[in-house]
Amino acid sequence: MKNNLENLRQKLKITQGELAEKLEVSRQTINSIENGRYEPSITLAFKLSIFFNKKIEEIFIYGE
Amino acid sequence: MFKKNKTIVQPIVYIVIGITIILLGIFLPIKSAMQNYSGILLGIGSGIFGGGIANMLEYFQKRKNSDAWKKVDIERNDERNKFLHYKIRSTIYGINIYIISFLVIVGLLTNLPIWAPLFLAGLQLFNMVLYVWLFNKNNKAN
Repeated sequence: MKNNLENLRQKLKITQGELAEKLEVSRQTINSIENGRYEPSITLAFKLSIFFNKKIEEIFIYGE
Repeated sequence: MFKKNKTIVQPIVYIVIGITIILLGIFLPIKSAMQNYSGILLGIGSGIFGGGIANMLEYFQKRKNSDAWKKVDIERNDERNKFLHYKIRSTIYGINIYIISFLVIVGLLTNLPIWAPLFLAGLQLFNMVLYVWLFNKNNKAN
């Protein structure tokens, strides 16, 4: 599943480590999500949605 | 979630239980039927005591350097790490099925006592029954 996480993060000018710390996950988790290697749980998807103030479907692109 | 005071009771309980079992291992077995179990009690007691000491040290380190330990807790509870952990365990289980099956065949083809391959076959059967039982249990619960 593709996602816009990297773009959204870069717009806020924060590092993967900083985002990971805010969401209480490891930096590797953020890196893996950005690269499409790992699909986050629904809980983490909601945390990202709340953090970026975007709908989940604006962050994650289903079916591509 | 990271909590400073979360683990202080647990290490104290472990240390007390550990010391109690060690003392049982040292003093109670003298001229009693438990004499043969002295070593086992000392071993179990030392293990629990050691675990308690380790948890106690961790607790004090957390108090001193909470930021570093917060990162450790995040790594421990990270969902991707947990996912990888379960995936690896699952892979190991799958590999073990083949290894045990192979050993059963080797045991039957060589001059090993018959109980050895039968034991391994029993272990394999137990694993499979346990798998089906846990699957059904989790299927109902989740």
